Amino acid sequence: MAESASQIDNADLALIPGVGASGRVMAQFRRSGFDHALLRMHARQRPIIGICVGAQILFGKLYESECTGLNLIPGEVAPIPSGEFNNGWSDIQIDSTIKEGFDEKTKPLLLKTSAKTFYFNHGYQINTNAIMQESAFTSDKKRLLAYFLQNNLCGIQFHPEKSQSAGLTFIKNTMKHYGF
Amino acid sequence: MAFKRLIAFVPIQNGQVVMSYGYLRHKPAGSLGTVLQNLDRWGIDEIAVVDISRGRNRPDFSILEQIRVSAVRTPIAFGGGIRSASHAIAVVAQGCDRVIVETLMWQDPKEIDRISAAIGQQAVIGAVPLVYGSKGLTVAPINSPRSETWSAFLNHLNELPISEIMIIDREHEGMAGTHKVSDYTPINETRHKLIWFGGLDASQAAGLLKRQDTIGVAFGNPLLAKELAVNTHRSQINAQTGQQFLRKVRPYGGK
Repeated sequence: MAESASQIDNADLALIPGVGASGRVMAQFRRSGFDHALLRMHARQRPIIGICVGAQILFGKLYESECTGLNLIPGEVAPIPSGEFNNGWSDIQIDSTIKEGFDEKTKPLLLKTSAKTFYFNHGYQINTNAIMQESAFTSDKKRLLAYFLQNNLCGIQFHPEKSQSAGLTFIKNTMKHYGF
Repeated sequence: MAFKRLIAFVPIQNGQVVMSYGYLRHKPAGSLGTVLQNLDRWGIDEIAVVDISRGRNRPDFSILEQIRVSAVRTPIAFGGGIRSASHAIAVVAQGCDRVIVETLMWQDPKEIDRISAAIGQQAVIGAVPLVYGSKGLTVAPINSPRSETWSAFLNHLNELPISEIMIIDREHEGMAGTHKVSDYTPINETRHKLIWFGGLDASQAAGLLKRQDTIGVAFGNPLLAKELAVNTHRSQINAQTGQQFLRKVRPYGGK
């Protein structure tokens, strides 16, 4: 667990875990200088993996606490419509729309397992039009962003660490993708 | 598809996992670490570890340490002795995903605002023990003599920054097939999604999962006592609903 910004400066990969509320996380990051350390890490193009609130703070406007995140990717994090929560296990599916600069025939980089049901626990959703190398959405009608991969940035809205064997495989794939 | 949840309720009394009967009688049921690892291997959707020891005003950190060491890959909600945001933060820091509050809803609801601001509203569950008697449906906290009617409590409950309510049939807890309180709670009466616990059998759970306002059903003793009971309950419930409300899981992480 990083205790100082300088430790992040010397790290090869950053993992920002949930559980939490975005306002408190950003306040602590600003106090500790973690925000600038993560921006420097991004400039070095080292992998930054965010889980749940850790994924949300990679974006700009955070409605949960009316504050600004790290703003590494254009987008916002807004309440799930009608004040609902997405708590529990959901199937996810890869976004199959063709993205400029990416080959639609490319095999999935992270979601390689046949098990595609993961544990979610959030009340805010990521809204972004940014082009991703790979992304997936929940397969229900809410179609919430489940994860995205954009070069050195990876945001995972569900909790792979609490999604049993499917989650473990997902974590292994992600680490392998980044050469760990 | 988004699934509803089959939850294991693991009561702890004086540091030990117990099988509980109406919150009155208790029988030892093994070490917490072993219970958590079994439920994890059997593929339960969520585990609620609830310390029901009386008079606790802070979480029992020795229990939280056992949860941390067990390193299970299943979501865990923890309840018992949470009286402040710093308690909730400490619970999450030990590897729990959510907190369950009960006494605070009566004693200090403002503190729930602070808990929600610290760990997120999605991570807060309110537990409401109910009994049915001559005054109708009554809220009957487990560690407090206070009681009030369910209808009087509803407005207060709807204002709280929590994400789900666990409704506990207090008198029938531990006696499968005797669950009653849901008979007296109309659908969509609260703005929060509901988890039902206490006296359920698979048939009653299947009926409750059909309710629009229900997100989960919780079982205690039946899931703790028998190898692979999680799998049996999941299959029975899905068969009786005629729909796949609960996800399909192969125990032991099988493919």
